[in-house]
Amino acid sequence: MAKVKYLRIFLIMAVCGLLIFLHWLGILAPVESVLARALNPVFSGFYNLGVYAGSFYRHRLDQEDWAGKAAVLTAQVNQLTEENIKLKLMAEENEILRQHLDFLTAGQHNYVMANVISRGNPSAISEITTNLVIDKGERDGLYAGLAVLSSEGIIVGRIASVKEAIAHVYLTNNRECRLAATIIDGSKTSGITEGDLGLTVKMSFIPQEIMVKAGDIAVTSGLELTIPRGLAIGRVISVNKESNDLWQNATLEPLVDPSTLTIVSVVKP
Amino acid sequence: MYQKILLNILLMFGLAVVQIAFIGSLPFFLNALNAIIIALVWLISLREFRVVVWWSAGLGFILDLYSFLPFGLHLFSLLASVFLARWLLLNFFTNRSLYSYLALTFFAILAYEICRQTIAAVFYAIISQQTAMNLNINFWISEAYILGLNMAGVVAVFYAQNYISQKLRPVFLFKIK
Repeated sequence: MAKVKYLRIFLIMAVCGLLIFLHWLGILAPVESVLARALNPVFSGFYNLGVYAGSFYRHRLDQEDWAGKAAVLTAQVNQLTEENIKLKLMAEENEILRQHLDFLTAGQHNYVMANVISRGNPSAISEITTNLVIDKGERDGLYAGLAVLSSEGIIVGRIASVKEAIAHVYLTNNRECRLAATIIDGSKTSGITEGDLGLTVKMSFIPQEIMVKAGDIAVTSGLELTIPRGLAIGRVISVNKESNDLWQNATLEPLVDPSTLTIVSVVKP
Repeated sequence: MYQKILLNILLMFGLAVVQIAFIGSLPFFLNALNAIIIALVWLISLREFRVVVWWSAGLGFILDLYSFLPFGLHLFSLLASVFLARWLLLNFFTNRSLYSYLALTFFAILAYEICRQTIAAVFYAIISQQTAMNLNINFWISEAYILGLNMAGVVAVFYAQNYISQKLRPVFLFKIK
């Protein structure tokens, strides 16, 4: 009797070993794809439920002074409205010039919308979200290196790896996510951003002679083929400048809270 | 019989979805809950071991599907943890008391985390030639959170089971006067 019991367990272990072997050979790929496609909507629903529960939990714990925060935000809105008006006028002028010179319209990209279904590494504890899994993959034309945007058009990360029906995204606060960036201050300053301890984004290799100040916005520079120019990355909160160093660094604050992301779009060049 | 198999498969998928999508999206500390290990330890004491091994295999397969770590990592780690828990149940913690469940969960999660972290670290050391595991104070604190929260989860499941059914009684040690 004991022999039969051990034989059954040995059989199950053999099946597990076979599953792993078949996966690495690629034979299981169609089965995995079908399973992933069937489960993705369910994952998406449960993930949204978890994000809603999390935001409710955080809201109850939050003891911030909402009135003070509202005042600061109102001032920022007013300033941004003024800048927006100026930018709109410049855009109109730009459009007229392009029509005259017969340029192709810039800024049109292909987007693939995707639902966030998981925080990246199942059963891994993390205070800060630095990875996401989305429900689109190779069959949707995605590949590693593509930019991932929030609903406001702010870049939140890039695709690290893809499977048939899902893709793994490194967020901008992940140290593995590096972006060629520039700071909007008129001087076309360039550098490279990467995540710093999962909390902020560090922008390195900024020339010493360039004046960077807190409040400046860093955007993608367009140097990479897969990532369009002008996608906002973060706001400068501090600058680290040592006179005996070749470069200066800036610390950026991400503009989007990754723990609230439920729908993202992937830009295909 | 087929109905039983189908029910088991559906419950398995449900547990995997809850663990990966729902628990994974919760805020810090709450997302340390490992519902899969808690469920497997609970099943070890109530069901035939063969059924538990099937559950581990199925859950590990689904976890590996949605993980970008090497395929087979979660499968192997879950199987290792249930085999260890089963061996401890048969040889050391032979009763179904609350302390037994706490001890089994503790060692099962320990085994699972050690397997998972070790295999992932070796994989990244070979592939990317860099150390992925940072054994600093934050790592140990997060591992302590995982153990603490899951043991609290086991207590909740134990008392819920006791409330619903009389199969498990909370046995405490009493001092003989």
